[in-house]
Amino acid sequence: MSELAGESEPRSEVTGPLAGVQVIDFTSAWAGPMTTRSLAFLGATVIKIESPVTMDSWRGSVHGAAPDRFPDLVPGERPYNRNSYFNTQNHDKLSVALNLKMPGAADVVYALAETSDVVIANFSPGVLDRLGLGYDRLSAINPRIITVEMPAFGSGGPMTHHVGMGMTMEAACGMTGLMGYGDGKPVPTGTAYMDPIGGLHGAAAVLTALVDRERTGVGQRIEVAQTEAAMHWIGDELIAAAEGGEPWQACGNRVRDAAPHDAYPCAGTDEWVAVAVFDDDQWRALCAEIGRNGLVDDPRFATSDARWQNQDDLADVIGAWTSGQDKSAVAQRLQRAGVPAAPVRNGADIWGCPGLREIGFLATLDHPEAGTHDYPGLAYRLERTPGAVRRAAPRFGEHNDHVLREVLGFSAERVEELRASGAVADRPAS
Amino acid sequence: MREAFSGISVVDATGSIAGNYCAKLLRLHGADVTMVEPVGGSPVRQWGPPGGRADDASPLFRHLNAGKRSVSVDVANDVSRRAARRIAEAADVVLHDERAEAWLDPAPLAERAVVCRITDFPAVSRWEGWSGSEMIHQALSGVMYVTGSPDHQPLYGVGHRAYFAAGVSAYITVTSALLERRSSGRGQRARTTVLESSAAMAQNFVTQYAYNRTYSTRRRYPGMLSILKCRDAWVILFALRHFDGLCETFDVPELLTDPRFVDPVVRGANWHLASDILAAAAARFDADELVDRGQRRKVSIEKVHSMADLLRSEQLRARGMVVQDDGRTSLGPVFRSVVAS
Repeated sequence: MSELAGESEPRSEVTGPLAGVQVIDFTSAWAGPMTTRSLAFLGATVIKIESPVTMDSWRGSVHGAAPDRFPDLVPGERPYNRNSYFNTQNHDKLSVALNLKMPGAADVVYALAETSDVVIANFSPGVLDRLGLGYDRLSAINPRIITVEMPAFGSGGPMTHHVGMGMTMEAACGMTGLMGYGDGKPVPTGTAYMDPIGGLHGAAAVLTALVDRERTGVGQRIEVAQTEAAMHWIGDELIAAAEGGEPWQACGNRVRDAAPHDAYPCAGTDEWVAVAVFDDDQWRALCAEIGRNGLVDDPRFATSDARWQNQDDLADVIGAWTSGQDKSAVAQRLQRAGVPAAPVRNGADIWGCPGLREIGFLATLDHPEAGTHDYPGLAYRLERTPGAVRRAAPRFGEHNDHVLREVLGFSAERVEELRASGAVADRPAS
Repeated sequence: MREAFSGISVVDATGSIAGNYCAKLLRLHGADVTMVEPVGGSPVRQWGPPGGRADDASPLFRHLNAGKRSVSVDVANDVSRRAARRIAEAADVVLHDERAEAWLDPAPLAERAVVCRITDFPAVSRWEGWSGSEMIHQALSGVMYVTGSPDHQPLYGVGHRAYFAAGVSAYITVTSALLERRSSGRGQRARTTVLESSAAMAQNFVTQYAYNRTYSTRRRYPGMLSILKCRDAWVILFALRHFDGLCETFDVPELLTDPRFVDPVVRGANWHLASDILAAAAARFDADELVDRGQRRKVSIEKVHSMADLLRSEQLRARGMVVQDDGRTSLGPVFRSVVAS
């Protein structure tokens, strides 16, 4: 038996639209787990296969990770069960720890494949095949199976085998080169934004294949090349460049169609309010709010073109007004007057946002080793078959026995043999 | 997979990047999509960078809406409103926003169709009446706060990424409801907001603060990240693994035995020092050469590609990702089937 006390009971009543769909999940870190987290949110049963040798990097190592990932900054005895990175992206999943290089482990996956709908991995191209778990092998077991691979780059080109991480993929897909302060140095997004882009498109691909299977009766092998999917999000810039348009030159927060359009300092340290003015009505409203109606017809600012040309002067005027004021209060006031504005929020602001709590975006979950905390939700809202964040992320190997005995119907003896051989693990290798 | 939604009719009455991208994904996989635009056209027609032909809609509009049908509705005209309603009543999927509610009552459609409201903010919320934009959503999501230099104002990013996130979120919502309709025979109402979609992109900001009352800033990226200038262009390096290969790549073997970088923990703590050494080394290489040296050693390093770089890319050519047809350009698949279905 697993040494984990109180193995949690997987939910029995799931109301999401994907209730009845079963997913075998080999993904790790952020992009792949966000895909399967989305499917779990929508009601699918997601069985996460974890390696005890190369643990999901978002669990950290057996010895811990950066302190700011842990409850009260304390890694604890089993830090891999308390890591906020992992626990954010893996709620509502089951964890089975298999060493796929040990005899018998692949047979567990083959048995799961018989009743599963989807197998998903974010290994490099070809790894799933080398493990004997590729589409050809699994579809021979279950012709309705769908396999989804999420490499950084698509197969068949010179970059196929490039090692990609969120930040480097963002550079490769063209986004980073479009961001900066105007001094020529590119500025990447402050989080690995490519990962959730890949995560969303992974879920979209799975659902498309599930719909397609209703038509064809058979599964298929899908490739979600993360850099290619992300390129669509700046597709207009790529198309414009291909058609001879002038290339976009990054210059802080300035954009083609609005001025002022920037973040302005507020009361406190590193506190800012974002203000965006797209038309003359908004400009007049802004001037009224800051008590500078005389600026409306000032030749430097009277037209959108003039405002665009004189943004440095605008920054001084608006910054002088926002400085010393509360960022949320300024944003509220401007929005009431019809001027797009928002506080530039940090993690504390978002966690403390009553509005997000009221609309049900934040969920409170009890994790047996991490404690009771709030977690962010997802944006899929269905009235009749709602998805939800229901259960905390699994501890490492928490559902070994449940999946092997109850889902697969293995005998107790067979399960113990798998444990004895090292195919099934209850704790990560040190 | 290109025919997954064959026989499914979609009405896109949103007039937004989010709604248009959702409908684009449906169309790419076989749906029949009709846009319902106001008299004068969707505002998206005017957004984004200018295109190469004066008579064309903007590249953004074409990128999002190529291959869709378009009808216009005059909300001041009864006949026009009724005609638009009839189109929506026959659809399997209706995407709409607040503006469409001037001619469309979505509620009765939901018994049979999937009806998804795609808006900037939830209808009943503290943001009621707010105006959104890309920067506004990035500011609210927390991503803007951590993007940029600590010595400058935070940066919102690029393009319309919050709206594209909402577009894919809407697609996931709609397709899951269509799948469920196969078994229940019933449609339903759904919604996606840009506010929630962009907040869901924001890593674990909520959880980090909930766990230990700390939050990320622009002071330092929580990983071994370096932005380095080569002779001809910039590269980005993320040094999670293969430190020996990284030292070979940059021709700095002395780092392997330097006590400041001897194991991952001290290396992480001293990464800013390593970055300075790597910056001096990077200046001796061209970007493509350095990336090639690194990738041969399994080091995660890429050139910061410009649009011109992408248009010359052998990788994109091999993958058919930039398609030219009669002077107009489009992009290849968002994701693809490897085995023909």
